[in-house]
Amino acid sequence: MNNRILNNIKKDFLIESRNRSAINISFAFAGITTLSVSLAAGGVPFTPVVHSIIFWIILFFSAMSGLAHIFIREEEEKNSLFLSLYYTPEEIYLSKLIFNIILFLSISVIVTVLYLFFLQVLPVYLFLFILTVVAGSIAIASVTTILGAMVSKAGSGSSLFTVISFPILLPVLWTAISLTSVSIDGTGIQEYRNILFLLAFSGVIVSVSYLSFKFIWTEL
Amino acid sequence: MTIEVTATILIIWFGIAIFIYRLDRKVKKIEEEIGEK
Amino acid sequence: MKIYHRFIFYFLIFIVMPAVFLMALIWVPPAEFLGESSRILYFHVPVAWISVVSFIIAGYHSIMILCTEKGRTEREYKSYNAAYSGIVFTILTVITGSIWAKISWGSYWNWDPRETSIVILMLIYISYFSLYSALKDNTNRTMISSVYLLIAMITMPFFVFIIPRVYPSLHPDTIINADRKIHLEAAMKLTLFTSIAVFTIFYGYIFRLMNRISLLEHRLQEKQNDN
Repeated sequence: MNNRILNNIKKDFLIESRNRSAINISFAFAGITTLSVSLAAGGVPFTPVVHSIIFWIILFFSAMSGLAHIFIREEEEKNSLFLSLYYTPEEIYLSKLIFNIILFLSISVIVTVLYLFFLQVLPVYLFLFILTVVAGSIAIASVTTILGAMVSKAGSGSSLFTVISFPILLPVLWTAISLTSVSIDGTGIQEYRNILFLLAFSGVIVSVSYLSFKFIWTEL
Repeated sequence: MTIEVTATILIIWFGIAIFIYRLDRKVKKIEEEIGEK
Repeated sequence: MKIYHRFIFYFLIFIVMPAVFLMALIWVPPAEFLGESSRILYFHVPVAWISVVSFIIAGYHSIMILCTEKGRTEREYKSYNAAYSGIVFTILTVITGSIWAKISWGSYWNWDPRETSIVILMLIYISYFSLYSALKDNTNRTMISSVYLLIAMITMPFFVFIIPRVYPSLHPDTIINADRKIHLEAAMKLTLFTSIAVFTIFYGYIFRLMNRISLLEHRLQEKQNDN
């Protein structure tokens, strides 16, 4: 099973690297949103809370622009039927999940670097900040993977994706925002346990979607 | 202040009454339609 | 639906419900701190209760859709209708709650935890309906929207854990509170529970009617397809 999942991931990366437009657009989207915030602010100093809110809103919308693409592409190329002939739904889910996590982690690395550089923020607890970004990105990627599959089946664009993922991503956003503001501000370090909340949330979502993915992917 | 409260309550009541009435009529209509065929 | 069913429920809506309203508006003494405006309690609480109940019913039916193959079409209507009536009652809850907030806290909206959670419930309903309507041409519509409701349902406990940390609360104690006692006078308690019971019966009636309509429409369509 591991080998087959790896094969599927390799195939996804190959296809994406052959036609780079979609991935490039999502990277460009993330970069441009970050730059636009920085340019629009024009050097006005933000408080740590505002910094973390804007940072996570940027990450949220970058996720919305990029993460449904992997399933939508399969539907557009009429590939999903062949895919489900060869792989079981669980294998498809896991491979897409890993692909999405890798993609979103790289997007969030770009956003983080650009944000810290252009808005001149230096978190007091850099390690906590990095951990929060990683845990939050994993949580966002694991929620959006199953919702992206639903959206691809619905055949409508990314606006539906934003609508249906917002209420489910809210706890992630709240926790991540408070953690980020703690790490920038440097007060209330005992909040660091909330990282466990993010990881637990993504674990629950991943296990439920692992069980229920076959209902979405295979037509009964 | 109590006027606002009373008004809201009356609006809720009328809303529910109208809703049930419409549902009831719809059921009647469909039952008749099925009965004919 | 038999004729006496209809009669009983018309009796309920035109006799019993006005009686409950009169009880709540005239008979019950006002609460200590909140004054006359506290009478909205007898409508706000049942409506909020129903909006949560219908969310649970919708979630229950969608889980059962995924678990068993028996009665899938009926369950499809049931979960859709429960969500449909749920969103109506959620909007009613928001309206009554914001009027009460204006009277007792001074502003219509101030992101109290309760207000936040009801807004999240409303958002979930709205996104469920957007997904449901977007899946119009898909044969797998029931399954996909059920999975969405299931995921929304398992997110709910996390909200309960996280919201009180984000927003401080002004909301009066709910019926089920920390010391497990109801801080209301006997008359208020009686009125409140009568009101909740009557609203629940109405909700059940509305829900049954909606299910019956969907079932009949389904049968009508099948008949037309056969012809």
